[in-house]
Amino acid sequence: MEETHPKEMKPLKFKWFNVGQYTFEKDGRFTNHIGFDYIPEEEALTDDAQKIIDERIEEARQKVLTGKMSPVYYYMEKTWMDPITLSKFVGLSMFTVKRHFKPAKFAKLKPEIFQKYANAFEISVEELKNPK
Amino acid sequence: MITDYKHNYSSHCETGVTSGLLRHKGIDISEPMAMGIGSGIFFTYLPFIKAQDAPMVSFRTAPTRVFKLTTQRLGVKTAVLKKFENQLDAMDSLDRNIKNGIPTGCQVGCYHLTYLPPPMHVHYNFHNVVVFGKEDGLYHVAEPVFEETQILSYEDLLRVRFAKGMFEPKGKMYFVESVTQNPDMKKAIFAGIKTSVKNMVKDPVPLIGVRGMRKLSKHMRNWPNKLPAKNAAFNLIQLIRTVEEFGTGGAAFRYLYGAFLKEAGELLKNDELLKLSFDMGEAGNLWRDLSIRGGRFVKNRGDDNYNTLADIVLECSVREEKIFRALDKIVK
Repeated sequence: MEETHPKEMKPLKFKWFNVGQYTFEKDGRFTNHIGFDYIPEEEALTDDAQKIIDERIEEARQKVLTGKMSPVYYYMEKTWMDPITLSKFVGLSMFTVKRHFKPAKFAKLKPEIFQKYANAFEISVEELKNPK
Repeated sequence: MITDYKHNYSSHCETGVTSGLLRHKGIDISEPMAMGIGSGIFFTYLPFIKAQDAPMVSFRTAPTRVFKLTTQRLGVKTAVLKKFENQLDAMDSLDRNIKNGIPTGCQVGCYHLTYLPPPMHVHYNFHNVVVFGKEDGLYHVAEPVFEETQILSYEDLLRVRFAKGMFEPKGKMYFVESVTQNPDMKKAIFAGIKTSVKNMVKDPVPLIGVRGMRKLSKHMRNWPNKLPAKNAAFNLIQLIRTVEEFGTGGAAFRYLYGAFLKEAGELLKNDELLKLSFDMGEAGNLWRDLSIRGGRFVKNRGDDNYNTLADIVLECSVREEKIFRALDKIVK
Protein backbone atom coordinates (compact mmCIF):
# COMPACT_ATOMS: atom_id res chain seq x y z
CA MET A 1 0.00 0.00 0.00
CA GLU A 2 1.63 3.23 -1.08
CA GLU A 3 1.47 6.03 1.41
CA THR A 4 -0.36 9.04 0.11
CA HIS A 5 -2.00 11.72 2.12
CA PRO A 6 -5.77 11.65 1.58
CA LYS A 7 -5.72 15.26 0.42
CA GLU A 8 -3.53 14.35 -2.56
CA MET A 9 -5.63 11.49 -3.87
CA LYS A 10 -5.76 10.93 -7.58
CA PRO A 11 -8.46 12.86 -9.42
CA LEU A 12 -11.82 11.26 -10.09
CA LYS A 13 -12.67 9.90 -13.48
CA PHE A 14 -15.76 12.01 -13.93
CA LYS A 15 -15.91 15.72 -13.50
CA TRP A 16 -17.62 15.69 -10.12
CA PHE A 17 -18.03 12.20 -8.82
CA ASN A 18 -18.44 8.68 -9.91
CA VAL A 19 -21.18 6.78 -8.11
CA GLY A 20 -23.26 3.66 -8.53
CA GLN A 21 -26.40 4.21 -10.58
CA TYR A 22 -29.33 1.95 -11.35
CA THR A 23 -31.10 1.98 -14.70
CA PHE A 24 -34.46 0.61 -15.66
CA GLU A 25 -34.25 -1.20 -18.97
CA LYS A 26 -37.21 -1.40 -21.33
CA ASP A 27 -37.67 -5.14 -20.74
CA GLY A 28 -38.15 -4.61 -17.00
CA ARG A 29 -34.64 -5.42 -15.80
CA PHE A 30 -32.76 -3.21 -13.38
CA THR A 31 -29.05 -2.92 -13.98
CA ASN A 32 -26.39 -1.37 -11.81
CA HIS A 33 -23.31 0.35 -13.13
CA ILE A 34 -20.87 2.97 -12.01
CA GLY A 35 -21.10 6.37 -13.60
CA PHE A 36 -23.09 9.51 -13.59
CA ASP A 37 -25.01 9.56 -16.80
CA TYR A 38 -28.68 10.19 -16.22
CA ILE A 39 -28.06 13.43 -18.00
CA PRO A 40 -25.20 14.67 -20.23
CA GLU A 41 -22.41 16.07 -18.08
CA GLU A 42 -22.80 19.63 -19.29
CA GLU A 43 -26.47 19.55 -18.33
CA ALA A 44 -25.89 18.49 -14.71
CA LEU A 45 -27.02 21.02 -12.15
CA THR A 46 -23.99 20.99 -9.87
CA ASP A 47 -22.53 24.04 -11.60
CA ASP A 48 -25.79 25.97 -11.42
CA ALA A 49 -26.12 25.36 -7.71
CA GLN A 50 -22.52 26.43 -7.23
CA LYS A 51 -23.14 29.59 -9.25
CA ILE A 52 -26.20 30.59 -7.23
CA ILE A 53 -24.37 29.96 -3.96
CA ASP A 54 -21.38 32.00 -5.18
CA GLU A 55 -23.66 34.87 -6.12
CA ARG A 56 -25.27 34.68 -2.73
CA ILE A 57 -21.88 34.80 -1.01
CA GLU A 58 -20.92 37.86 -3.04
CA GLU A 59 -24.24 39.51 -2.14
CA ALA A 60 -23.60 38.79 1.54
CA ARG A 61 -20.12 40.30 1.25
CA GLN A 62 -21.52 43.49 -0.24
CA LYS A 63 -24.09 43.69 2.56
CA VAL A 64 -21.33 43.41 5.14
CA LEU A 65 -19.12 46.01 3.44
CA THR A 66 -22.01 48.48 3.30
CA GLY A 67 -22.78 47.86 6.97
CA LYS A 68 -26.19 46.23 6.55
CA MET A 69 -25.18 42.87 7.98
CA SER A 70 -22.53 41.64 10.37
CA PRO A 71 -19.56 39.48 9.25
CA VAL A 72 -21.20 36.44 10.88
CA TYR A 73 -23.75 36.46 8.07
CA TYR A 74 -21.06 36.58 5.38
CA TYR A 75 -19.00 33.78 6.88
CA MET A 76 -22.12 31.68 7.36
CA GLU A 77 -22.88 31.88 3.64
CA LYS A 78 -19.23 31.33 2.76
CA THR A 79 -19.01 28.07 4.71
CA TRP A 80 -22.31 26.81 3.21
CA MET A 81 -24.11 26.91 6.54
CA ASP A 82 -27.55 28.08 7.54
CA PRO A 83 -28.69 29.56 10.87
CA ILE A 84 -29.64 26.14 12.32
CA THR A 85 -26.30 24.54 11.42
CA LEU A 86 -24.35 27.53 12.66
CA SER A 87 -26.25 27.54 15.94
CA LYS A 88 -25.16 23.92 16.49
CA PHE A 89 -21.55 24.81 15.68
CA VAL A 90 -21.36 27.65 18.21
CA GLY A 91 -23.73 26.15 20.78
CA LEU A 92 -26.14 29.07 20.87
CA SER A 93 -29.82 29.15 19.96
CA MET A 94 -30.84 29.89 16.38
CA PHE A 95 -32.52 33.12 17.40
CA THR A 96 -29.38 34.37 19.16
CA VAL A 97 -27.36 33.60 16.06
CA LYS A 98 -29.84 35.46 13.88
CA ARG A 99 -29.65 38.43 16.24
CA HIS A 100 -25.89 38.53 15.74
CA PHE A 101 -26.45 39.20 12.02
CA LYS A 102 -27.16 42.81 13.05
CA PRO A 103 -23.93 44.87 13.03
CA ALA A 104 -24.88 46.78 16.20
CA LYS A 105 -25.39 43.54 18.18
CA PHE A 106 -22.26 42.02 16.70
CA ALA A 107 -20.08 44.92 17.84
CA LYS A 108 -21.10 44.42 21.47
CA LEU A 109 -20.35 40.69 21.68
CA LYS A 110 -18.12 39.24 24.39
CA PRO A 111 -14.63 37.98 23.41
CA GLU A 112 -15.54 34.34 24.12
CA ILE A 113 -18.47 34.52 21.71
CA PHE A 114 -16.14 35.94 19.06
CA GLN A 115 -13.84 33.01 19.71
CA LYS A 116 -16.74 30.55 19.29
CA TYR A 117 -17.64 32.02 15.90
CA ALA A 118 -14.00 32.07 14.84
CA ASN A 119 -13.67 28.38 15.74
CA ALA A 120 -16.82 27.51 13.82
CA PHE A 121 -15.58 29.24 10.67
CA GLU A 122 -11.99 28.09 11.20
CA ILE A 123 -10.55 31.60 11.04
CA SER A 124 -8.91 33.95 13.53
CA VAL A 125 -10.87 36.52 15.52
CA GLU A 126 -9.09 39.27 13.57
CA GLU A 127 -10.38 37.87 10.30
CA LEU A 128 -13.85 37.50 11.74
CA LYS A 129 -13.97 41.17 12.70
CA ASN A 130 -12.51 42.46 9.43
CA PRO A 131 -13.72 40.40 6.46
CA LYS A 132 -12.20 41.20 3.11
CA MET B 1 -4.32 -4.52 10.75
CA ILE B 2 -6.53 -4.77 7.71
CA THR B 3 -9.55 -7.05 7.77
CA ASP B 4 -10.51 -9.05 4.69
CA TYR B 5 -13.58 -6.92 3.99
CA LYS B 6 -14.53 -7.08 0.33
CA HIS B 7 -15.57 -3.71 -0.99
CA ASN B 8 -18.36 -3.47 -3.54
CA TYR B 9 -19.61 -0.17 -4.82
CA SER B 10 -23.27 0.58 -4.27
CA SER B 11 -25.69 3.39 -4.99
CA HIS B 12 -26.84 4.34 -1.56
CA CYS B 13 -24.56 4.62 1.42
CA GLU B 14 -26.57 2.83 4.07
CA THR B 15 -27.92 -0.08 2.03
CA GLY B 16 -24.41 -0.54 0.67
CA VAL B 17 -22.91 -0.66 4.14
CA THR B 18 -25.62 -3.04 5.38
CA SER B 19 -25.21 -5.46 2.51
CA GLY B 20 -21.41 -5.24 2.72
CA LEU B 21 -21.31 -6.01 6.45
CA LEU B 22 -23.76 -8.92 6.06
CA ARG B 23 -21.88 -10.37 3.10
CA HIS B 24 -18.68 -10.23 5.11
CA LYS B 25 -20.39 -12.59 7.57
CA GLY B 26 -21.59 -14.94 4.84
CA ILE B 27 -25.21 -13.86 4.39
CA ASP B 28 -25.63 -13.02 0.72
CA ILE B 29 -27.91 -9.99 0.76
CA SER B 30 -27.75 -7.71 -2.26
CA GLU B 31 -28.11 -3.95 -2.02
CA PRO B 32 -31.72 -3.85 -3.30
CA MET B 33 -32.64 -6.60 -0.85
CA ALA B 34 -31.24 -4.58 2.06
CA MET B 35 -33.23 -1.61 0.77
CA GLY B 36 -36.48 -3.58 0.77
CA ILE B 37 -36.09 -5.56 3.98
CA GLY B 38 -34.88 -2.47 5.81
CA SER B 39 -37.82 -0.42 4.44
CA GLY B 40 -35.49 2.21 3.01
CA ILE B 41 -38.01 3.84 0.68
CA PHE B 42 -39.46 7.00 2.10
CA PHE B 43 -40.53 10.50 1.32
CA THR B 44 -40.78 13.54 3.48
CA TYR B 45 -41.09 17.20 2.71
CA LEU B 46 -40.26 19.58 5.53
CA PRO B 47 -40.79 23.17 4.36
CA PHE B 48 -39.93 24.61 7.78
CA ILE B 49 -36.41 23.11 7.90
CA LYS B 50 -34.22 25.00 5.48
CA ALA B 51 -30.76 23.95 4.43
CA GLN B 52 -29.04 26.84 2.64
CA ASP B 53 -32.48 28.41 2.20
CA ALA B 54 -34.00 25.47 0.31
CA PRO B 55 -36.78 23.45 2.00
CA MET B 56 -35.72 19.99 3.09
CA VAL B 57 -36.87 17.06 0.97
CA SER B 58 -35.70 13.66 2.10
CA PHE B 59 -36.08 10.34 0.35
CA ARG B 60 -34.46 8.29 3.08
CA THR B 61 -35.30 7.16 6.58
CA ALA B 62 -33.38 8.07 9.72
CA PRO B 63 -29.71 7.00 9.79
CA THR B 64 -28.95 3.37 10.79
CA ARG B 65 -32.66 2.54 10.60
CA VAL B 66 -32.16 0.43 7.47
CA PHE B 67 -29.27 -1.41 9.13
CA LYS B 68 -31.26 -2.06 12.31
CA LEU B 69 -34.42 -3.25 10.56
CA THR B 70 -32.63 -5.45 8.02
CA THR B 71 -30.53 -7.23 10.61
CA GLN B 72 -33.45 -7.58 13.02
CA ARG B 73 -35.62 -9.19 10.37
CA LEU B 74 -32.86 -11.55 9.30
CA GLY B 75 -32.19 -12.61 12.89
CA VAL B 76 -28.70 -11.15 12.98
CA LYS B 77 -27.26 -9.97 16.25
CA THR B 78 -25.74 -6.50 15.94
CA ALA B 79 -24.45 -3.74 18.12
CA VAL B 80 -25.13 -0.06 17.55
CA LEU B 81 -23.00 2.13 19.79
CA LYS B 82 -23.98 5.75 19.94
CA LYS B 83 -23.33 7.12 23.38
CA PHE B 84 -19.70 8.01 23.78
CA GLU B 85 -18.47 9.96 26.75
CA ASN B 86 -15.75 11.61 24.73
CA GLN B 87 -14.28 11.58 21.27
CA LEU B 88 -11.16 9.60 22.14
CA ASP B 89 -13.38 6.88 23.60
CA ALA B 90 -15.17 6.58 20.27
CA MET B 91 -11.92 6.24 18.35
CA ASP B 92 -10.56 3.72 20.89
CA SER B 93 -13.57 1.46 20.53
CA LEU B 94 -13.25 1.67 16.74
CA ASP B 95 -9.56 0.72 17.01
CA ARG B 96 -10.46 -2.21 19.26
CA ASN B 97 -12.98 -3.42 16.72
CA ILE B 98 -10.49 -3.30 13.88
CA LYS B 99 -7.90 -5.11 16.01
CA ASN B 100 -10.46 -7.88 16.51
CA GLY B 101 -11.04 -8.03 12.76
CA ILE B 102 -14.55 -6.58 12.73
CA PRO B 103 -15.27 -4.14 9.89
CA THR B 104 -17.33 -1.36 11.42
CA GLY B 105 -19.89 1.01 9.95
CA CYS B 106 -19.69 4.65 11.01
CA GLN B 107 -22.10 7.51 10.55
CA VAL B 108 -20.15 10.53 9.33
CA GLY B 109 -20.65 14.08 8.14
CA CYS B 110 -19.76 15.07 4.59
CA TYR B 111 -18.34 18.55 5.14
CA HIS B 112 -14.82 17.56 6.16
CA LEU B 113 -14.70 14.26 4.27
CA THR B 114 -11.49 14.97 2.38
CA TYR B 115 -11.82 12.53 -0.50
CA LEU B 116 -15.19 13.85 -1.71
CA PRO B 117 -15.09 16.39 -4.54
CA PRO B 118 -15.66 20.02 -3.47
CA PRO B 119 -19.33 20.33 -4.53
CA MET B 120 -20.21 17.49 -2.17
CA HIS B 121 -18.77 19.25 0.90
CA VAL B 122 -22.18 20.05 2.32
CA HIS B 123 -23.27 19.97 5.94
CA TYR B 124 -24.97 16.62 5.56
CA ASN B 125 -24.51 14.25 8.47
CA PHE B 126 -26.34 11.10 7.35
CA HIS B 127 -23.52 9.54 5.39
CA ASN B 128 -22.29 6.03 6.22
CA VAL B 129 -18.93 4.39 5.58
CA VAL B 130 -17.24 1.14 6.58
CA VAL B 131 -13.88 1.39 8.34
CA PHE B 132 -12.11 -1.91 7.73
CA GLY B 133 -8.46 -1.39 8.51
CA LYS B 134 -5.79 0.70 10.16
CA GLU B 135 -2.21 0.87 9.01
CA ASP B 136 0.48 3.34 10.09
CA GLY B 137 -2.11 5.61 11.67
CA LEU B 138 -4.17 5.78 8.49
CA TYR B 139 -7.65 4.32 8.37
CA HIS B 140 -8.83 2.33 5.39
CA VAL B 141 -12.36 3.34 4.53
CA ALA B 142 -14.74 1.56 2.16
CA GLU B 143 -16.74 4.43 0.74
CA PRO B 144 -19.93 2.71 -0.47
CA VAL B 145 -20.60 4.95 -3.44
CA PHE B 146 -17.03 4.90 -4.81
CA GLU B 147 -15.36 2.15 -6.75
CA GLU B 148 -12.07 2.30 -4.85
CA THR B 149 -11.46 2.25 -1.14
CA GLN B 150 -10.13 5.42 0.42
CA ILE B 151 -7.80 6.35 3.26
CA LEU B 152 -8.35 8.87 6.04
CA SER B 153 -6.03 10.13 8.76
CA TYR B 154 -6.91 9.84 12.45
CA GLU B 155 -7.75 13.54 12.76
CA ASP B 156 -9.93 13.56 9.65
CA LEU B 157 -11.90 10.52 10.74
CA LEU B 158 -12.39 11.94 14.23
CA ARG B 159 -13.60 15.16 12.73
CA VAL B 160 -16.19 13.59 10.41
CA ARG B 161 -17.43 11.22 13.09
CA PHE B 162 -18.11 14.18 15.35
CA ALA B 163 -19.31 16.52 12.61
CA LYS B 164 -21.53 19.33 13.80
CA GLY B 165 -24.76 20.72 12.43
CA MET B 166 -28.24 19.31 12.06
CA PHE B 167 -28.62 15.65 13.18
CA GLU B 168 -25.10 15.20 14.53
CA PRO B 169 -23.65 11.68 14.20
CA LYS B 170 -21.91 11.91 17.62
CA GLY B 171 -19.55 9.06 16.79
CA LYS B 172 -22.26 6.50 16.10
CA MET B 173 -20.85 3.14 14.98
CA TYR B 174 -22.35 -0.27 14.32
CA PHE B 175 -21.25 -3.78 13.47
CA VAL B 176 -22.48 -7.35 13.14
CA GLU B 177 -21.82 -9.59 16.13
CA SER B 178 -23.18 -12.99 15.17
CA VAL B 179 -25.40 -14.37 12.41
CA THR B 180 -27.88 -17.20 11.92
CA GLN B 181 -27.52 -18.83 8.50
CA ASN B 182 -30.49 -19.40 6.19
CA PRO B 183 -32.93 -16.82 7.53
CA ASP B 184 -36.64 -16.89 6.64
CA MET B 185 -36.60 -14.62 3.60
CA LYS B 186 -40.34 -14.54 2.98
CA LYS B 187 -41.10 -13.32 6.46
CA ALA B 188 -38.34 -10.70 6.28
CA ILE B 189 -39.42 -9.41 2.86
CA PHE B 190 -43.07 -9.13 3.85
CA ALA B 191 -42.19 -7.36 7.09
CA GLY B 192 -40.08 -4.91 5.08
CA ILE B 193 -42.86 -4.20 2.61
CA LYS B 194 -45.38 -3.76 5.42
CA THR B 195 -43.35 -1.01 7.05
CA SER B 196 -42.79 0.70 3.69
CA VAL B 197 -46.53 0.67 2.98
CA LYS B 198 -47.14 2.18 6.38
CA ASN B 199 -44.57 4.91 5.72
CA MET B 200 -45.73 5.75 2.22
CA VAL B 201 -49.54 5.62 2.34
CA LYS B 202 -50.72 5.19 5.90
CA ASP B 203 -48.78 7.78 7.87
CA PRO B 204 -51.08 10.26 9.61
CA VAL B 205 -48.64 13.16 9.16
CA PRO B 206 -49.50 14.90 5.86
CA LEU B 207 -45.83 15.67 5.12
CA ILE B 208 -44.77 12.02 4.92
CA GLY B 209 -45.29 9.59 2.05
CA VAL B 210 -47.53 10.26 -0.95
CA ARG B 211 -49.35 13.02 0.89
CA GLY B 212 -46.02 14.77 1.34
CA MET B 213 -45.49 14.59 -2.43
CA ARG B 214 -48.84 16.24 -2.97
CA LYS B 215 -47.93 18.96 -0.51
CA LEU B 216 -44.65 19.51 -2.33
CA SER B 217 -46.43 19.69 -5.68
CA LYS B 218 -48.88 22.23 -4.26
CA HIS B 219 -46.11 24.37 -2.82
CA MET B 220 -44.06 24.10 -6.03
CA ARG B 221 -46.76 25.89 -8.00
CA ASN B 222 -46.42 28.83 -5.63
CA TRP B 223 -42.63 29.13 -5.74
CA PRO B 224 -42.48 31.59 -8.66
CA ASN B 225 -45.15 33.82 -7.07
CA LYS B 226 -43.88 33.77 -3.52
CA LEU B 227 -40.12 33.75 -3.96
CA PRO B 228 -37.59 35.74 -5.98
CA ALA B 229 -36.69 33.96 -9.23
CA LYS B 230 -33.25 32.97 -7.99
CA ASN B 231 -34.55 31.34 -4.80
CA ALA B 232 -37.26 29.44 -6.67
CA ALA B 233 -34.66 28.11 -9.11
CA PHE B 234 -32.39 27.14 -6.22
CA ASN B 235 -35.22 25.21 -4.55
CA LEU B 236 -35.81 23.30 -7.77
CA ILE B 237 -32.10 22.63 -8.28
CA GLN B 238 -31.73 21.25 -4.77
CA LEU B 239 -34.82 19.06 -5.24
CA ILE B 240 -33.43 17.59 -8.46
CA ARG B 241 -29.99 17.08 -6.94
CA THR B 242 -31.60 15.25 -4.04
CA VAL B 243 -33.48 13.04 -6.48
CA GLU B 244 -30.49 12.16 -8.65
CA GLU B 245 -27.10 13.13 -7.32
CA PHE B 246 -26.91 12.62 -3.58
CA GLY B 247 -26.43 8.86 -3.67
CA THR B 248 -29.94 7.64 -4.39
CA GLY B 249 -29.03 5.27 -7.19
CA GLY B 250 -31.05 7.43 -9.56
CA ALA B 251 -34.67 8.52 -9.51
CA ALA B 252 -34.97 8.88 -5.75
CA PHE B 253 -34.48 5.17 -4.84
CA ARG B 254 -37.38 4.12 -7.08
CA TYR B 255 -35.12 2.04 -9.32
CA LEU B 256 -33.48 0.53 -6.27
CA TYR B 257 -36.84 -0.39 -4.80
CA GLY B 258 -38.04 -1.73 -8.13
CA ALA B 259 -34.95 -3.94 -8.26
CA PHE B 260 -35.87 -5.21 -4.79
CA LEU B 261 -39.44 -6.04 -5.85
CA LYS B 262 -38.10 -7.91 -8.86
CA GLU B 263 -35.60 -9.88 -6.80
CA ALA B 264 -38.25 -10.65 -4.19
CA GLY B 265 -40.73 -11.70 -6.87
CA GLU B 266 -38.21 -14.10 -8.41
CA LEU B 267 -37.22 -15.50 -5.04
CA LEU B 268 -40.78 -16.06 -3.82
CA LYS B 269 -42.15 -16.89 -7.31
CA ASN B 270 -44.76 -14.16 -6.96
CA ASP B 271 -45.97 -12.73 -10.28
CA GLU B 272 -47.73 -9.80 -8.68
CA LEU B 273 -44.48 -8.54 -7.17
CA LEU B 274 -42.83 -8.81 -10.59
CA LYS B 275 -45.62 -6.76 -12.14
CA LEU B 276 -45.33 -4.14 -9.41
CA SER B 277 -41.56 -3.98 -9.91
CA PHE B 278 -42.26 -2.91 -13.49
CA ASP B 279 -44.69 -0.25 -12.26
CA MET B 280 -42.09 0.96 -9.78
CA GLY B 281 -39.58 1.27 -12.62
CA GLU B 282 -42.08 3.38 -14.53
CA ALA B 283 -42.56 5.59 -11.48
CA GLY B 284 -38.77 5.92 -11.39
CA ASN B 285 -38.81 6.98 -15.03
CA LEU B 286 -41.27 9.68 -14.09
CA TRP B 287 -38.96 11.02 -11.38
CA ARG B 288 -36.13 10.96 -13.89
CA ASP B 289 -38.35 12.89 -16.27
CA LEU B 290 -38.73 15.50 -13.57
CA SER B 291 -34.95 15.82 -13.22
CA ILE B 292 -34.29 16.05 -16.94
CA ARG B 293 -37.11 18.46 -17.74
CA GLY B 294 -36.50 20.46 -14.57
CA GLY B 295 -32.80 20.68 -15.41
CA ARG B 296 -33.58 22.00 -18.88
CA PHE B 297 -36.02 24.49 -17.39
CA VAL B 298 -33.35 25.82 -15.02
CA LYS B 299 -31.05 26.27 -18.00
CA ASN B 300 -33.77 28.16 -19.87
CA ARG B 301 -34.37 25.43 -22.41
CA GLY B 302 -37.54 23.51 -23.14
CA ASP B 303 -41.08 24.78 -22.57
CA ASP B 304 -41.72 23.69 -19.00
CA ASN B 305 -42.69 25.78 -16.02
CA TYR B 306 -43.25 25.18 -12.32
CA ASN B 307 -46.83 24.09 -12.99
CA THR B 308 -45.94 21.29 -15.41
CA LEU B 309 -43.13 20.14 -13.12
CA ALA B 310 -45.53 20.10 -10.17
CA ASP B 311 -47.87 17.97 -12.30
CA ILE B 312 -45.12 15.35 -12.63
CA VAL B 313 -44.71 15.19 -8.85
CA LEU B 314 -48.47 14.84 -8.48
CA GLU B 315 -48.53 12.04 -11.06
CA CYS B 316 -45.72 10.30 -9.15
CA SER B 317 -47.76 10.42 -5.96
CA VAL B 318 -50.81 8.93 -7.72
CA ARG B 319 -48.82 6.07 -9.23
CA GLU B 320 -46.94 5.30 -6.07
CA GLU B 321 -50.12 5.28 -4.04
CA LYS B 322 -51.50 2.63 -6.43
CA ILE B 323 -48.33 0.55 -6.12
CA PHE B 324 -48.24 0.65 -2.34
CA ARG B 325 -51.97 -0.08 -2.00
CA ALA B 326 -51.43 -3.14 -4.19
CA LEU B 327 -48.44 -4.17 -2.08
CA ASP B 328 -50.58 -3.78 1.01
CA LYS B 329 -52.98 -6.39 -0.35
CA ILE B 330 -50.15 -8.82 -1.13
CA VAL B 331 -48.56 -8.75 2.32
CA LYS B 332 -51.82 -8.87 4.26
